[in-house]
Amino acid sequence: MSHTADAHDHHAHPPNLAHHFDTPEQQVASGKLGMWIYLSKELGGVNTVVLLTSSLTMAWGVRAAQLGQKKILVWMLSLTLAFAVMFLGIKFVEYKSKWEEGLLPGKRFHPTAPPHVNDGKGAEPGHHDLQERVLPGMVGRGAPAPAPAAPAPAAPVAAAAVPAAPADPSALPPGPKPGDESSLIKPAADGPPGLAVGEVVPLGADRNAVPKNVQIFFGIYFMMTGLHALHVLAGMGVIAWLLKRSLRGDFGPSYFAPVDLGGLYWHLVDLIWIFLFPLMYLIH
Amino acid sequence: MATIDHTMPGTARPGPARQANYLNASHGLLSWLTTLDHKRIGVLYLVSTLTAFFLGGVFALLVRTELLTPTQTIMGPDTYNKMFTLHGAVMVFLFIIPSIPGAIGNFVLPIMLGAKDVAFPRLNLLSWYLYIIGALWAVASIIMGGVDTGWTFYTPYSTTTNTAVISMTFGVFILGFSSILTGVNFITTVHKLRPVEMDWFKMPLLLWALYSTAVIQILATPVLGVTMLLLIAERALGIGIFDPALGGDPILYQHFFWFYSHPAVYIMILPAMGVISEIIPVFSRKHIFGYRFIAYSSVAIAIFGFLVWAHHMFTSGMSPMATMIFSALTFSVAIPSAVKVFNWLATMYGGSIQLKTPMLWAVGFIFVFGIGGLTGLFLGALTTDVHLHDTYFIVAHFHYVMMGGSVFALIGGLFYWWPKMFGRMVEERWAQIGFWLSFVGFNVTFFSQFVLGSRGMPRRYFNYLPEFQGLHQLSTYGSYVLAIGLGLSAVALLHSLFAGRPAPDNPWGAASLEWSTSSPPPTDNFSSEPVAGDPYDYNELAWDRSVQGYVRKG
Repeated sequence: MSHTADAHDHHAHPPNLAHHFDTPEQQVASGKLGMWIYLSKELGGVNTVVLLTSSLTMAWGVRAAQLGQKKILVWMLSLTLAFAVMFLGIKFVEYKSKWEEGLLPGKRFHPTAPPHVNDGKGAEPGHHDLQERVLPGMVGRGAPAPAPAAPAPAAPVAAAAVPAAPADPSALPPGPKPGDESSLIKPAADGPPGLAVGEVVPLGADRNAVPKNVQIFFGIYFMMTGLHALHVLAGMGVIAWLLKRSLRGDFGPSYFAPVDLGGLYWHLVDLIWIFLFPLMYLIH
Repeated sequence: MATIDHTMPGTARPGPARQANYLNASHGLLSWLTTLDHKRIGVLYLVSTLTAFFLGGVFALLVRTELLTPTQTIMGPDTYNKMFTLHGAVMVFLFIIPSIPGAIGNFVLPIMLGAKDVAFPRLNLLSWYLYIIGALWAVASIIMGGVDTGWTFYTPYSTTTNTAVISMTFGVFILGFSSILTGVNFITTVHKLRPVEMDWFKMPLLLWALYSTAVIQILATPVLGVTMLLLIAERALGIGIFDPALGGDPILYQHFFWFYSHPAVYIMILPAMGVISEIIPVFSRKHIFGYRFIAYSSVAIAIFGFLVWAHHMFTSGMSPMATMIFSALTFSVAIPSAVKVFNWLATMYGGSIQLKTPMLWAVGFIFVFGIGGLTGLFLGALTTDVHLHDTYFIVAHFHYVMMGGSVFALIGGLFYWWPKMFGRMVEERWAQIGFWLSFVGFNVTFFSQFVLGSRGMPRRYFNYLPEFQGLHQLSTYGSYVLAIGLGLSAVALLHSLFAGRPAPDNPWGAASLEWSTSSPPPTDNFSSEPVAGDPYDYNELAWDRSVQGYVRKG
C-alpha cells in the first residue's frame, strides 16, 4: 500500500496540514481519534472518582449502622448504589465507543475509524486501509497500555516523540526501504526529525506486529474490566439486600455485621479498580 | 447414598452406645440435603467423592484394558483419548482434591478442636452443593461426548478440539469455588474456634496439614478459575490470550495452569500426610517424634509448592537460567517431605507397632510415597527430565504420589475414623486382605510403568511398539488386582455397617479429642466440655475389656 501512498508526497501541502498527513481530512480524523481516546482515559479517571466516593459512602454507612443511625444508613447505601450505577453507566459509554471502533478482543478485533470521523471519507483513495492508519495512532496517543507491551520498535518511539498525530504509513517519503534493518533503527537515534520516518517503516515491513499487541491489550482490557464489572454487579446485589434490611430496621449497635462485611466486599471492588485504572488507563 | 440409608435409622442396634447421635438425630433424605452439621456434610462429601473415585476407576480400567495389545483392543483411538482424559479430570478434580479435606477434614477438624461445628456451617453446605454442581457440569461434558484433551486442557488443542471442553472446564471452575470456600471455613475455624488451652503446637498435626492445605486452596485456586475462564472466553468469544494467531501465547496457558496445579499437588498430598501423622503414633503406641518439624514442614511444603510450577514445562521452552532455578527449587521440596518421612519412621522406631488396617495403609503410604517422592527427583533434574518427560515414567511417578500417596492415606484414614463416623468396627481380616491385594496390585501396575517409561514408552499413546507389550500387560493385570483389593476394602467397610461390632468411644487408644466423645458423636459433638491435652500422649490411656476400647486411667 505504501506504493500508492508515495504519490501523495509530491503534492503541495495546505499551510495547516502537518507534513506527515496526506490530507486535511486525515489530520482532522487523527486529531479527533486522539481526543476521543484521551477522553476515554478521562472516563476512566471519572470512574475512579465515582468508585472512590462510593467507598466513602459505604464506609459512612457502616459507621451509621454501628451507631444505629438508620436514616443515614439508608441514605448512604442508596448513594453507594447510585454511584455503582453511575460507574457502570460510564463503563457502558466506554465499551460502546470501543465497540463502534471495532476495538474488540481477539478474533472480533477489527478496528475502524470511529463513525464520526469516518463519515463521508470512505471513498477517498489511499485511505482504504483504515486499520493501518488508525493503529499506529492508537499506539501513538498512548491512551491505553499497548505501548509498553509492544515489542515492535516503532510503537514506543511513536508514543514518545510524535505526540501530535498518528503516523500514516502512506506519508512515507520514498527514501527508506522497507525491510532494510539499519534504516529501521537509525532514525530513532537521530531524534525527532527522523522519527516520522523511523516509526513508519517497520509498519510497512511488519504490518502485523503492532496490531497484535493492540489486540492483546483489548483482550486483556475487556477481560479484566469485564470481570471487575461483574463484581460490581454482585456488590450492587449485596448493597440492595442491605438496603432492604436497613429499611426494615435490622441493623443497630448490637448487630451490624452484614453491613460491615458487605462494606468490606465493596472496598475490595474499589481496591481492584485502583489497580486496574493505572494498569489500563495511565501506563504509557 | 447407600451408606447413609443403611446407617441412618438406629434399627435394632445392640449395645449401650445407641443414644442420640448425629446419624439418628433426624431422618429422611431432605434432612441430609439441608443439613448444616459438619459431620453429615463430611459424609455427603465421602459418598460423593467415593462415587467419583469409582467412576474414575472404571475409566482407568478401560484404559488399561485397551493397552493389553499394541493395537486396538476394545475401543477406538478417539474413545481412548476421552477415557484417559475423563479418568484424569474426574480423579483429580472430583476425587483427590476434595476427598480428604471435604470428607475426613469436615468430619474430624471441628471435633479435634473440641468445637461444635466449623465457623461457617452454611458456607460449608454451599461448598458441597458447588461441588455437586461442578460435578454435574463434568458429567454433562461426558454425556456430550467427553473431552479428549488430557486433564491438563493444554492449548492450542483445547481451544480447537470439537469436544465438550467448555462444559468440563466450567465444571472445574465451579469446583474451584467449592475448594476455596472449604479453605475459608477451615482457616477461620482453626483460628477462631480453637479452645484457649490448645495453642498452635498442641493441635493435632492433621490440623496443621489441613490449615496449610487451606492456605494453598485460597491462594492458588483463583488462578485456576481465571485460567479456565480465559480458556472458555477464548473458545467461546475468540479472545486471544493463548492463540498465537490472535496475539496470544500457548505457553502462557501452561504457566497459568501449573501455577495452580502444582500447588494443587500439595492440596492433594498435604492432608494425606496429616492423616499419616495421626495414624502412625497411635498404632506405634508412642508419642509423635519431631512434632514441630512435621508442623513446620507442612507450612514449608505449602510455600515451596508455589515456587516450582515450571518444572512441568522444562521441555516447553524456557530460558536455561529459568529451568535451572526451577530445578533447584524443585529439589528443595524434597527437604520438608523427607523431614516428615524420617519423623514418621522415628516415631515407629522402638514403638510397639500394631498392624491394624489403618496402620497397614499408613506404612504402605510411606513405602509408595518414598518411591514416588524419590522418582520425582529424577524428573526435577534437567538432563534426565528431557529423556523422561511425557513418558510412562511420569505417569508412574505421579500415580505413586497421588494414588499411592493421597489415596492410600485416604483409605487408611477412612478405616481409622470409620468407627467414629458410623459407630461400627470393621472386620480386620477382610480389610487386611483388601490392603495386601491393593498394595501388591498397585506396585505391579505402576512399577512396570517406571520401566516402560525409562525405556521410552510415551504416555497417552493409543498404539505402542510390540516390545512394550509384556510390561503393558503386567501393568494391566496389576490394575485388576488393585481393583479387586479396593473392592474388598469397600465390601469390608459396607459390611461393618450391617454386621460390625458396635464401636467403643476410643477403639485405637488415640489421644486427640475426637476419641473422647461417643461413637458416633452427638450432633453437638460433645456431651460435656472437652479438655484438650497433648494429642499424642498415650500414657493416660488403658485398655478396658468391658467396653472393648481404651479409657482414661483413674
